[in-house]
This record gives sequence, structure tokens and C-alpha cells, in this order.
Amino acid sequence: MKEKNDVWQGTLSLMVLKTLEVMGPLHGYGIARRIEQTSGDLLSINHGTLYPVLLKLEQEGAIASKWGVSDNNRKAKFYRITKAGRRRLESERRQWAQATEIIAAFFTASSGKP
Amino acid sequence: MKALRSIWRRMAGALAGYRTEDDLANEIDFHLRMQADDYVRSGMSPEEAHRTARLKFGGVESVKEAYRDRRGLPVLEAFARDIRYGLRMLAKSPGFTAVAVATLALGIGANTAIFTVVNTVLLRPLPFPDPDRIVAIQEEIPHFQRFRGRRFPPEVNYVFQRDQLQSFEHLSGFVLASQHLTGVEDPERITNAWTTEDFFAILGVQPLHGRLLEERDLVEQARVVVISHPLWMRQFAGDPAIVGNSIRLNEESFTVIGVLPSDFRFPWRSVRFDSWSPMSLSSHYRERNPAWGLSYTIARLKNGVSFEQARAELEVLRRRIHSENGAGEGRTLVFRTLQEDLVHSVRQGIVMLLAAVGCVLLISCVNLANLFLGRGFGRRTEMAVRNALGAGRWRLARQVLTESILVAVLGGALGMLVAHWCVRGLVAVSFSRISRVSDIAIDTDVALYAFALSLLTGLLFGTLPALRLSRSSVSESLKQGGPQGTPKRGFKSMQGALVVAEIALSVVLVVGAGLMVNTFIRINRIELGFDPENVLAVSVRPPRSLLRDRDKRLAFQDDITARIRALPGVESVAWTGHLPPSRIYRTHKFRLPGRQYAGRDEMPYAYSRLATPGFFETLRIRPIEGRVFEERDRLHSTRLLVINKAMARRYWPQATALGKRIILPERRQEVPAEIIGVVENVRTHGLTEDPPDVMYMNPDQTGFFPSSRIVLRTSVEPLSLVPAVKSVIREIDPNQAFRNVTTLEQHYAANQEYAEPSFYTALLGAFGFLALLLASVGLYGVLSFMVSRRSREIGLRMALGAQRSTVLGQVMGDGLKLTALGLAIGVGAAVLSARVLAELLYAISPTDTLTYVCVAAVLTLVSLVACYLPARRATRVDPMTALRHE
Repeated sequence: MKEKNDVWQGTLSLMVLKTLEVMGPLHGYGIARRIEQTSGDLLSINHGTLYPVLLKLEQEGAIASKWGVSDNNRKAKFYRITKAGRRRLESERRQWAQATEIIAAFFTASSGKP
Repeated sequence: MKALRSIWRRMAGALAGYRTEDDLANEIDFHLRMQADDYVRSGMSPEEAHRTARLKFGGVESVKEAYRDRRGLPVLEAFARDIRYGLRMLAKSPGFTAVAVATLALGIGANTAIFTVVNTVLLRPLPFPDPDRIVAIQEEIPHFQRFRGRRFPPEVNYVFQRDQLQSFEHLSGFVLASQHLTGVEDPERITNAWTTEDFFAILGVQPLHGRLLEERDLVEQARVVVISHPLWMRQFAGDPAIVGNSIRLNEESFTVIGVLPSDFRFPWRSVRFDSWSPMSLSSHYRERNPAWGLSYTIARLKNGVSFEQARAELEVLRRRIHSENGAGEGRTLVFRTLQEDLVHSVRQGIVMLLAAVGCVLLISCVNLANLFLGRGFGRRTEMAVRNALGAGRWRLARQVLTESILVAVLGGALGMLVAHWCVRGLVAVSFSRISRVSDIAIDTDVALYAFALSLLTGLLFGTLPALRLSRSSVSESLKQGGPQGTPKRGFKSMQGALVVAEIALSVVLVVGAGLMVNTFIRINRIELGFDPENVLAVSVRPPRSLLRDRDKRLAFQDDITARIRALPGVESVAWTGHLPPSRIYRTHKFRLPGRQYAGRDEMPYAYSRLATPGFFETLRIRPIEGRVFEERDRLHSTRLLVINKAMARRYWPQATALGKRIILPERRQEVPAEIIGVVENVRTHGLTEDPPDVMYMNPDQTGFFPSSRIVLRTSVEPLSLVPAVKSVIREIDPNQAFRNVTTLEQHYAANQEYAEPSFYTALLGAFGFLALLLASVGLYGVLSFMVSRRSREIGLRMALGAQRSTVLGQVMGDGLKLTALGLAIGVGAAVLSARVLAELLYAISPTDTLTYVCVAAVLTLVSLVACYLPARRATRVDPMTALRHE
């Protein structure tokens, strides 16, 4: 249970970073919507899980937050990606690609044998 | 880096943030509204939209919880909660808290105080560069060691042999001389050290003003002096202009060439070094008199020379010179680092004190462990319920531990205060062999030690109850009927073990204290041979001009004597040299008439003391035969002697010594002397050594100057006469300095053989008493707890017709069994540990049966009372009340 959560948090934080990189500053709801749109059903379970992840990223310095006003004139907290966040996104993206490659190669290899 | 930053933020989050709580609520609220708006736009009713948004979000509270965990450090927050809870629990039972904190304050305070001494005297390096390269050279006379650690200046003056020793970069030493500083507002006696330029090089000291001794000063025998910072401040108001000016020492002019820095102190015995002059001013130095011993010899090892190499080289030289001079028989070289040499003789005693005070703290720990166990027993239900509600075992244990550490830290803080007072007391009763006594003070090292000790103590006495309590099982403790249930076996046996440990520890301590107290009593019972009460001693030095003129000197002396005798409250006055019981070294050879002696070495000798008429009355030394000195003896042509009983017994065992003659070979002639009286032996060779042969000479007759001391017996408090005596003397000699103004009682109490045992007795006695007190309280506490837990059982048995005496006996038997076991273990441990004490004891064996029996009896008595009181209370309880007591 816990491990699954960790994996989920790991991937979720990557998604958050990517979202903020592409979209610029966004509030929590915006991020949730965006991830939902991109990932289909994946985040449809719980929007709430997003917030601890945002906090963690902020504590680690990958994102920064600021209170502002949303399009419909509501007070909202906006998140933006920092320089450190971009670096991290890049390195994680590479790692992710590598891991995917290895796993893919592994699956191909083992399915090739009897 | 990332992790660090994250932890830092989380710590900040843990400490500060209720504001962020609102932030989170706002953020979530915003999220839900946005979502709801979207749903409304897609056609839902507002209520429906709101509900679905919430569903979509997940549990708001659980998200908040997860967020909070992430925001702060849960461990830190739990810790803070534990502390708050712990403080609340402690505040709820102020009596318990006060007892626990006070117990610990005493234990930790005493430990910290002793550690302060250990830290300053044993651990802190000497304040000189590379202190471990500085060595001290001494000799030891093994058969002379009545008391341990007595060392002597070597019979070789190594300063003369410096050129022959390759292992040392510098080698020096000093000879102490008391000098009379005049020409200042308040003339005083100062301690001057005759030394060589190397002395300062060894210690690596730089002058504050001017310069230090240099080689040319020694070559030229320059009358120069380097003064200490305190002397400079005291007599010259810290004026740098004193450098280059001259001062008068023993009525000779010396030029001040330098002032030492304020932090320079040579921590040798408790000597206060005031000034330093070239050793070459002494004719002994110029003549290279090999018998001229230095007070102390130190050296700095050359780079690359090992300690052992240096010792070997020194030993070879030492043997050669000894065989050339025919000296040094039975002596062995003592070669140690300076630091080691300064602390060697007291290390064992101080370490023993540390062990003793550690025992006291252990007993406190046992007491507290018991207290916490007992209290925890009443909280079993609470623990069990918390456990049932999901608190983990570790969590519960941590709560109990937090409480015990809180108590320990509070105790430690209070203990620092206790330590502060204890240190003052310690310094006041310490004896002169402890070097650097005046430096003993609480510093950061000591504070850290106290803090660490508190934490350790808290862990020590908290662990057992914590483990025990966190194991409380829900069903059992609830079943057993709340706080009044009967303790389980394991619980009882653990308390029993603690009681046994407590008794055993206190036996060890109390036995040690008992042995020291016995030693002290025996030392106090030593027949001194004189009466130190109500005697004042004042050192006086006649003006130098009088020294050569016997008549003038006698007139000076008589004048002072007469004036002092005329003071109200003075009973008798006399002049003498050394004060008993200080060791005397001056011996006189003599010849018995009609005997032939091959050489001087063959002649018998006796220690000599000077005594003017009135001396024996003043000190109340009992005459045995014949008479003592009288005024008219001054004109007597034959030298008259009063000898002590030991000398009379040795040389005239059969007949009386009165009227016997001996011949004293003096420098120019052989002087016949007649024995006119025999007096009681006086402990002149220290307290614990048998009195040696002593002959008393009358300085009025011999022309020796009675080096300096006036002794007067008073009918009033002796110190109250000091101002009167001083002013009388200053009337005759305005330049007179007074240094050793003491009562004979003070002098006696400062004697090492008295001061050392009294120091250890005072401390060990205090620790022993503390241990006994703590152990009795602990014993009483545990037994009464155990009995009160059994009150239901006792009530039941009483109701069923059991005899009161049977019940009482049984309850007390339980307690006494524990006591007996503790005593047995304790006595065994005491026999082993008392060996450490052996060297501090006098006239008592470390396994003195009486002491052990007494200690056992006292502890048994204490535990009898501790068992009896609760047992009696239990049997007095009305059975119905006891049974209903739930």
C-alpha cells in the first residue's frame, strides 16, 4: 500500500513538473484538470492526493507558490516551476526514458525465449 | 542537499505554522468550488455539483492529515507533544515531581562537583605549550613512604649537570626562599624562587612587561628579579614603570626586569610564587655544591627524544654521580611528565571520590526507577487503553521515557546549582597537594558533562519502567480492576531486584565512609604531645642589621616578648623555629662521651628544635624529668639541652638522662652540652610517624637565631589578638612583614596527614550519609508500595482469621529477605572495593570487621523500620474496607 503510494507520488510529481513547465503558473485545480485531461482516468480517483505532492515539491525547491487571483476572481494559490525544478524534470525525464527502454528491452528479450 | 533543504523547511513548518493550516483550507476550498462550478456548467444542480466535487477530491480531512504529516516532522511534533504531555503529568503530581527532581539534583550536583575537580586537576592539560614534553625529575625513598606519594628533590643537582644531558632541550629548577619585601607601603614576606633562565623557556612563557631572566643574568650574578602579576598588582598598582626600578628584598636592592602575564601560574603544591631571581646569587650555585638540592627540577624533552630515552640517560648519570658522592642510597628515580607528577599523588583519591559519587547517583537512579514503576503501575489502565486505541508499544515507551528524561533534565539544571555550592565547599576543604585548586570552577565542559549525565540518568532509570509499562496488556489490566489490582510476579521481582541493588550499593558506600571516618577518628586520637588550642603563631624576622649582633638581637627579641606578654589575654610567649606537627629536617650529630667514632657518619644524631624559655608552657609540652629552660640560662656557660622521651629512652634506657653530657661537634669547635630535662614526645615528624629523637636548644644561649616564630598562648580567641600583636611589633620594627599568622590549630589542620584524611572523610562521609538516606527512602517506598498493593489479600486473610503477628511476620520477612540478599552482595563488593581505599586509611584494615558489622546493622535497622511501618498499617486496616477497596 505504502510502496504503491510512493510510486504514485513519484510519477505524480513528474506529471506536476511537466504540466507546470508546459503551462506556466497554475493553481492546484488547474494542475489536476490538466493531468486528468492528459492522463485520462489516472487521476480521476482523488484530486486530494495532489496537495501533499505539491507541498513536497515546494519543500524540495522544485516549484514555488504564490497567492494570486484566478480568472473568475477568486483567491487562488498559483504554482510555478523553478530553475531547480526544470533541471530535475530534465534529469528525471532522462532516467524515465532510460528505465522505460530497459524495461521494454527486457520484456522483448524474455518474451523472445521459450 | 535536496533532503537537507526539505528537512529544514519541515522543521520550520513543524515549529511555526497554524497559518498554513488556513492556507490549506482556503486552497482546498478553492479547488472544490472550481470543480463544483465546472459541474454546474455541465448541467448539475449546485448541491449535486458540490457533492460530486467532494467525492472527486477524496477525504478532505485525510488529505489534510497527509498534508500536515508532510508539512512538519511528525517525529518532532510527537516529541513536542510528549514533552507537553509529560510536563502536564509532572505538574499534576507536584509531590512526586519534587521528590524525583530533588533526588536527582543531589545526585547530579554531587557528581558534577566532583567532575569539576577531576576536570581541572586531572584532565585539563597544563597551560603551557606541548605540556606532555615537560618532565619533572624527583626521587623516592621507598622505605620512607609511610604515606603514599611522598617524593623528594633529587640528591643530584641536575642544573649543574645540564651540559652532560643530551635528551633535554632545557633543564631547570628552583630553590624557594622566603624574602622580606620592604620599601613598600605594606611590607610583606614573599616567596622568591632562585632559578635559571631555562625555567621560562621550558614553560614557554613570555613577559607582560620587560624581559625574563637571561643567561647573562646568571653569569653576571645580576641582582635582578622578575615579579608575578599578582605581586605587581598588589604592591606596585600595576604600574609598568616599575620595570627598571629597584625594590628591596631582604634589605638588598634588586632591579625589576620584568612582569609575568596574569595567566601565568606554576601550579606546584599550593605555593604562591611571587618573584624569580638568578640562582647564581647563591654561593652554593657558584661553588657547584653537589649537596645543594633544588626544590623542584623540571625539563623539556628535545624534539625526537622519547620519554624512555631521556629517562635512561638520566638514570645513568644519576647512578654515576651518586656513586661518586656516596649518596642516593635506597633512592629511586621518579621521572614523570610534569602534569602526571603534579596530580599523581591525588589521582587515586579523586577517582575514588568520582566512583563513590557515581554510586550515589546509581542509588538515586534505582530509587527513581522504582518510583516510576510504582507510579506507572497506577497508570497501567491508562496505558492499556491508549494501547487499545492504537498507540504503538514504542510510542507508549517513548512517552514514559520522555517523562523520565524531563525529570532528569530538570534535576540536572537544579544540580548545576547544587554543584556550584559543592565546588565552593570542596575548594574550601581541599588540601594543598591538590594542584590548581584555585582554578577549580564550573565551565562549559562541566556543564556539558552535567547535561549528558542528566540525559543518561533519565535513560537509565526510565528504560526499565518504560519497557515494563508499555507491555501492559489491555485485557489483563482492565480485568484486574483498575489501579488497585495486585502486581504481577514480574513486576514484583523487578522491584525486588532494584531494592537488592540499592542496598548493595549503599553497603559499599557506607562501608567506605565508615572506614574513612574510623581513620579520621584515629588520626584525631593521636597523642600530639602538645595542646594546639588557643595558641597563636606569628612569623617575625628581625631587621638584618641585628642579625650579627647577638646583644642587640636579644634586646629586640626581649622587647617584643615583653610587650606581647603585657597584652591582655596573653598567657605566655616564646620563640621557636618550626611549629609541630610539621616535619623537621634539621639534625644535629653528637658524640656520647667515652665513645670513639670512626667518622662523622658513625655518630648518632637527633633532630633539633629551638625553644626559648616559656616554649614548653606555651605549647603545654609535659616535662617528665628535670626542668625546662629558664631566663637565667641565657648566661649559663655550658650548653643546656632539653631532650624528648624517645631520645632519653634510646641512649639512657636504664638510668636517668639528667645531668648527662654529650658533645656537639659544631663548625669550629666541639661544644659540650648538658641535659637538664626530659619532656614528652611531640609528633614532630608528621602525625602518623613515631616521634623521632629530638633535642631542644635555647637560642638565647646558642646564638642561633630562632628562625622566626613567636608562639603565644592566649586566654581569648587567638586570632582576636592579631591586630594588637602586629601593632606591638611594628612599634619596634615598622618594616616588619607578617606572613604566617595562624593559630596552632589551623596549622595542625593544614597538615597534610590531617588535611588529606579529613578531606576524604568529609566527602565520603557525606556521600555515605546521602546513600544511606536515599536507600532508606527507596526501601521504604518500595516496601510500602508492595504492601499496600497486597492490602486486599491481607484484609482477606485477616477476615479469615489470620493472626496479626503472622501476617506482620510474613510481610516483614519478604522485606528482610531482600535486605539480606542486598547485604550479602554489598559486603562482597565492599571487600573488593575497599582495597582501593587501603592507602588512604590509617591504623585500620580495609576489612575491619566492626565497620562491616555496624554498617550491616544500620542497614538492617533501616529496612526493619521501612518494612514494619507499612506492614503495621496493612494489618490495622479493617478487613471490610480492604475488600471493598476497589
